[in-house]
Amino acid sequence: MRLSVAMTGDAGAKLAAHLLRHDGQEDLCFATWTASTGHSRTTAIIDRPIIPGPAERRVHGNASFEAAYALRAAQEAALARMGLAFMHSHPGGRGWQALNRVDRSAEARIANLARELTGLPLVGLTLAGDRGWSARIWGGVGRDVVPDPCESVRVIGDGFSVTFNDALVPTPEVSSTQVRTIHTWGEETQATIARLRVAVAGTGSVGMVVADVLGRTGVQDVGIFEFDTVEMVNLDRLRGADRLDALLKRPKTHVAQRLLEAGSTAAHPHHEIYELSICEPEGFARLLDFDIVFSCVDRPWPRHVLNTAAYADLIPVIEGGLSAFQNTDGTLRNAYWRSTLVRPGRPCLACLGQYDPALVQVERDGSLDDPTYIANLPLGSPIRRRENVAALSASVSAALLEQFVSYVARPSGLGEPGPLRFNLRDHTVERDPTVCDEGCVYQESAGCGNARLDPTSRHRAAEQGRSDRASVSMGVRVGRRLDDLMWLLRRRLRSLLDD
Amino acid sequence: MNGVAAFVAGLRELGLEPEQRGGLVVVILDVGPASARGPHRVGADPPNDYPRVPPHWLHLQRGLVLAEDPGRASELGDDWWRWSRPHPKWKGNDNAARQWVAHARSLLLVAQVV
Repeated sequence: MRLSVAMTGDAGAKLAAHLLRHDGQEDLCFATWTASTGHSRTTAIIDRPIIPGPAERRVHGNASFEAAYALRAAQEAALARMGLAFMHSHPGGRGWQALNRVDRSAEARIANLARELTGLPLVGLTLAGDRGWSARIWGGVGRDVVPDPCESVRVIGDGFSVTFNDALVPTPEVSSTQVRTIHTWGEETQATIARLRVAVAGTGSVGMVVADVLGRTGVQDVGIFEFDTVEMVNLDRLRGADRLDALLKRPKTHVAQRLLEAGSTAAHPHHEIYELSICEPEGFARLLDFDIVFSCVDRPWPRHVLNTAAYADLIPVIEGGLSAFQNTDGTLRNAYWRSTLVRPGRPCLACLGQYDPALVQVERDGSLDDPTYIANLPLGSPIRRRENVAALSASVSAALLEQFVSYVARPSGLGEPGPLRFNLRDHTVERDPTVCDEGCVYQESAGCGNARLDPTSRHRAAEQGRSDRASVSMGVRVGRRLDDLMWLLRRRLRSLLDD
Repeated sequence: MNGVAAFVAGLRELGLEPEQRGGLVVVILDVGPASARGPHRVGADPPNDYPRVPPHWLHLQRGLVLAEDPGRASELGDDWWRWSRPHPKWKGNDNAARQWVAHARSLLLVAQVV
């Protein structure tokens, strides 16, 4: 299991204000943490700093703490049914900090106390003077406690701040195909973006473009979640898909994989392609292995799932959509597309009105896939809306990618702009002033990790899609093999010429 | 607490006496249309992530129908029909049970007697 740590921007700011002292000395404190468990990654989410009282720690160039402080912190964590985290600063350090002998010994002494009182391992963190975090999670018991290194620490604030453990996630090689990209934002930003684990949920007209662009930008780990099949009706807007894909009943993931393989500029791309719905337990668990998610879905249930992960699991979700309105004669009156980045401190998708929580169960029980149910809906129901056009869905993709770049590249030090709405007729962009309702359950669940209310269940539409693709005629099977062979030859030719 | 347990607990806090039948919950509400004033028994299907997500179907005993669309067979038995009536403005907070009861009562008031 890979390990990582995440915290909100508020928690990060509070901790930095305490740990990075004006006098340049080291400092320390405890905090509580809770787990967010994915398929192959566990993230320790830092919850609440426990700042020491005046008599609980001593600062003398280095810093040390009284046993009573450790005990108080462990008891507070146990009462909250959370784990204990211990953190200290290296004001002169930069980036990921290796664990030195003194720090290792100090943390090892607390590791057993933490496990005994909370039942959870100690999370140790170091904050460098450049606000770069490093972290480890202590495994083992008794004299055999050992620090298992984390791969990254993410701070989810106005901008996305991440520190990577270079030993586990090395800085990627720069390829000749990325020269123009690096000229745009520099090697350091490229090294960050390339190492982010970015998922795309839904590869329709918007998601397929996003996936292609992420690959071309050099993101090494792109995850694709899609259970749908390419159909003729998709071809007017689905990048990379052609009639053959529809005739061979290819999954949309197949098209995404082909695009990523053909266009990725990373030296060692590792794309994860899942014919899963994020609403299924396995799909959701795999989603939790990613750092940022593009929401390119348009139904209430997956939006609810992503809204849940954005807050409970501190996985920022970049979301958008398109609405087009017609005149009575059927011509286009206006169209709007919007984009937002969903995270603690920004409005949630439910409060923004991007989905109706009451329709989640309607979708879950299969009603939205039941033609007789749909036929009985009022004509104006948002569920019946089907408008989509490639020329405008490209704008949605662009709006989402702008949110992504703003968040991770932070132009002029600024982060993402908040919810935006683009107006086609007037050619304007407006800020959406919506804030979450007081007591919004999503904001209140920020960082609760595995304690979230599970939004997943069996997804019959996804099962049906996979089953339909598996039960095709022999002719289609042979066609798929021939098509695969052609792509294999193309891949071979490319690698021959590369060499 | 979540799901059916949270739904039942919320109704009890309102002084109601819910009865759990498998994954469904039946409760008696003291309203009804003018020609068939309550009390009436109604059923609901709270999902596992209730109160984040509200029940979808409203189960009514035969004799009461909701206009505009046909009811469907209910898991509660032959004496029941279920009707797709998603809550119009759900906030999955502490007032969830109160929100659902208000929604069910408003539907009972406009139900038709057959």
